[in-house]
Amino acid sequence: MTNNTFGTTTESVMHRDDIMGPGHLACAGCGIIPMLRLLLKVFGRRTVVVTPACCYAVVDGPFPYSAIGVPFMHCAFETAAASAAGVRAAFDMRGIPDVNVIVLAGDGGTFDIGFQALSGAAERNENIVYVCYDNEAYMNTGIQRSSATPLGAWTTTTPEQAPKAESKKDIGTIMAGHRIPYFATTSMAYPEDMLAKFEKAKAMSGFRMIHYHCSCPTGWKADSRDMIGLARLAVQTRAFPLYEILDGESWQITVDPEPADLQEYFRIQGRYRHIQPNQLTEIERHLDKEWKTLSRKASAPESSGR
Amino acid sequence: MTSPKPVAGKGAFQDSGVVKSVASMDWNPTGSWKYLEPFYEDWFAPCSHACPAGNDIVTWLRFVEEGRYQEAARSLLNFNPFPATLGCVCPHPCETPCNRKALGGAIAIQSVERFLGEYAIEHDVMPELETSGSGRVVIAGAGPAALSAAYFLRLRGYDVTVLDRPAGPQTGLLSIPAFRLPRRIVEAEYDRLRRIGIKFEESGPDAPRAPFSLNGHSAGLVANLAEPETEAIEGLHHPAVLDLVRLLDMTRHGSGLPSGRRLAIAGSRNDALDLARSLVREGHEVTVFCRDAKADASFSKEDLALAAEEGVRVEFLTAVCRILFDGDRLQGLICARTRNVAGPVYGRAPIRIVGTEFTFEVDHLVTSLPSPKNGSPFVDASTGLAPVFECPDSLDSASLGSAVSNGRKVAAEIHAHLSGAAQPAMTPVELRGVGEEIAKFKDFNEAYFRIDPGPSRMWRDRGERLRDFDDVRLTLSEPAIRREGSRCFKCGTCTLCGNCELFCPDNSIVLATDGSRYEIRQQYCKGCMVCVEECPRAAIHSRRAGVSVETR
Repeated sequence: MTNNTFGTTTESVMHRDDIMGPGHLACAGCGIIPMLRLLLKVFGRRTVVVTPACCYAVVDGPFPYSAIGVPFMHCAFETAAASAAGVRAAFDMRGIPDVNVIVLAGDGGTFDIGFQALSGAAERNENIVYVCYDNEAYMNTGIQRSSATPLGAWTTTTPEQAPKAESKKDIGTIMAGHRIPYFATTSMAYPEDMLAKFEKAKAMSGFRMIHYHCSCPTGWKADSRDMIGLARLAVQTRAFPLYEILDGESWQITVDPEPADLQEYFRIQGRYRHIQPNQLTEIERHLDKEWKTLSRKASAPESSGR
Repeated sequence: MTSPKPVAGKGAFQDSGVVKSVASMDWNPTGSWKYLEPFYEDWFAPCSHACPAGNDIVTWLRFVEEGRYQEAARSLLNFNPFPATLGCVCPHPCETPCNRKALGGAIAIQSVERFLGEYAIEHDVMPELETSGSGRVVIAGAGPAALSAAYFLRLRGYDVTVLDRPAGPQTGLLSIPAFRLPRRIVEAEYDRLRRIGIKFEESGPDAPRAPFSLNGHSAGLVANLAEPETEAIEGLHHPAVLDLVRLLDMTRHGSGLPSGRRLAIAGSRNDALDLARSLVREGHEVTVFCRDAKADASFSKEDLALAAEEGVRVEFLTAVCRILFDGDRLQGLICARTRNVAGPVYGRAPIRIVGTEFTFEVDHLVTSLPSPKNGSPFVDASTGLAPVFECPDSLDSASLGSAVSNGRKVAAEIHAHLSGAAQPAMTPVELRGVGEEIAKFKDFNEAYFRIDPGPSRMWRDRGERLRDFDDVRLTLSEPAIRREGSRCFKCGTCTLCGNCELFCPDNSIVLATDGSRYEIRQQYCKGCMVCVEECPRAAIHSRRAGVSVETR
């Protein structure tokens, strides 16, 4: 008997034993944890997680405690992908091939500070899974803008009078340019889709990247109870489309949601409180354009047959 | 906050087989951070709240959704002696407040009840018999409430005897015409009463009947049928004036029907509509005069609409005052408009408005005639020391649900008296332990529900209906019934959908070891309320955090 709201995959995965434990230091309503719990349930106990400076580096607990339940390595901000590649190399040298090496990094450690290490590891097709939980700013240092902060959003370094003028960096296209075997965007509001992508990534080898849209009630100035509602609206308004890219060339939109009003998404977040109607229209136009670009890539024939 | 000394090789890391170095964080009671705390509490579904018989509709719809009809029928039978009958004639107030209305129309609850009732008949599903009660109870009267009391006492394990008129218990509900309540259904449901061991005895062919003796019984119950109210009409003794109950009985046998074509019925209960609809099928032209306003009459809305469609005229706020006759022939009626007077003195009694009289030509008038006190059976309290209980009863099909509920309540009283255990009559929903609140659509998370239209056709076409006395209702097929089960929101009821567990950022929601419910580890819950927000159907709620947080 299944009463699960989302589907059989979600049901079967969520009833596996929790690897991650409680008592961690995340804010109430943190979007990292539900994703991380499922990620670990999919990848299992034979997993090592490497984390640069980011929210989760704090959330996990002060040394020698750790909530994550698997071996956990802190590394310098700019080195997550390189450190993970090193852990993988060490396992390979010792003849232990069956341990999953996962990077868990924020958007700062991925889009900005850790970018060269990420690019290098991707280019070398290191056999790791890189999970970026993207809460769209440097949250644990005090909500400073990152290159993942979306157009028009408030942060402490993009104040209301001068909200972010640049759009979110298109990390998917950049990673596709590295021709990595797998790249996927995920959202906690669509767990069935997310788990399918985790399973797919687990079944592959080489450089796999998961880009998770991570609700941050603290940094987005939203009610913690809306954590999932925000994630859902981000997908529905196409502010964060769900898609995957195989081998850098085969694009697929995996969830084509019922559309929702961008205003509804903005209304429940303090970081968009300053948005004026003309700005809203501008942002809507920008998101439409991005969606069209994505749709075009997703509908392109797989081989050009030259 | 005291943290334990980390011990190498302990905790979650022991079985990873990779590295053993650190200890977990589960010593950290993050529950102390919260201002609000979530708690589970099932709330009333609006359907159950509106059900006069107190049925736990959500529970059987959950079984129906999974195709577990046997369990659904049994859970229904445990609290309802006549599910198929009620599935035919109940005016289903349950469907009016259904939250599904907002997204595709109310659940066809009555059709599901009928389906389960018929399933129980066909597959011989029986209610669960207990043995907690012992003793003999004698019940005078065999109306729906009396039979309901008999049923619930029997389920408790009592030896129950029902005293009835010689025709047997069927006389009660069988007066409802077959196009509303197929005969085989009533017969099968009465038969079930016998089969669970209720004894029926005739209390004598002649009225008034002898009082029944309490000798050898532990308790008695008198459940007399309410005598139909007689309207004050001049000239009621005329032979062209017919008794409503008798005529209803005649239409059932198809004999002794009036010869005149035009008939007027004075009455404001559903049986007046039943008779009108029967007579229309026999080719008569029928007008019903109801003294009450439409809102006050005890007609079921649905039957009223069907009657109108079938050609019955209903005049509200109109009273028959006087009968005009010429020898044996009835010439016409003097009628007058009425108005309702609300107030402590008059209650709802309508008052005729002077000057509004008009003449109405008919061949016959049908109304409830004063019946000779043919006597309901009564108890001679001097024959024994056993206590005698009383319970109102009525044959009005619109209040059958209340009759079932009254019977259950008095049965609980009798059981409490005889067993010495003070047990209030609880509806199945109350027994399930629901809170006092009713789950409303605004309490739900709309993201989890889509528009899903319900069955569109419920009735046979008018022309076809008028040709016979067969059931006017179209029964839903098994897949359609099952669909109703899945369309049901299960308002206010935890279905273990798992959203709360899935989304909890603090690993605070865990399935109980027996798998029957979720529990909250308040010592870790930081009070984000994501679980409350993402519960589709208002089964988890928030309140101010308790003063003390368990810290192990």
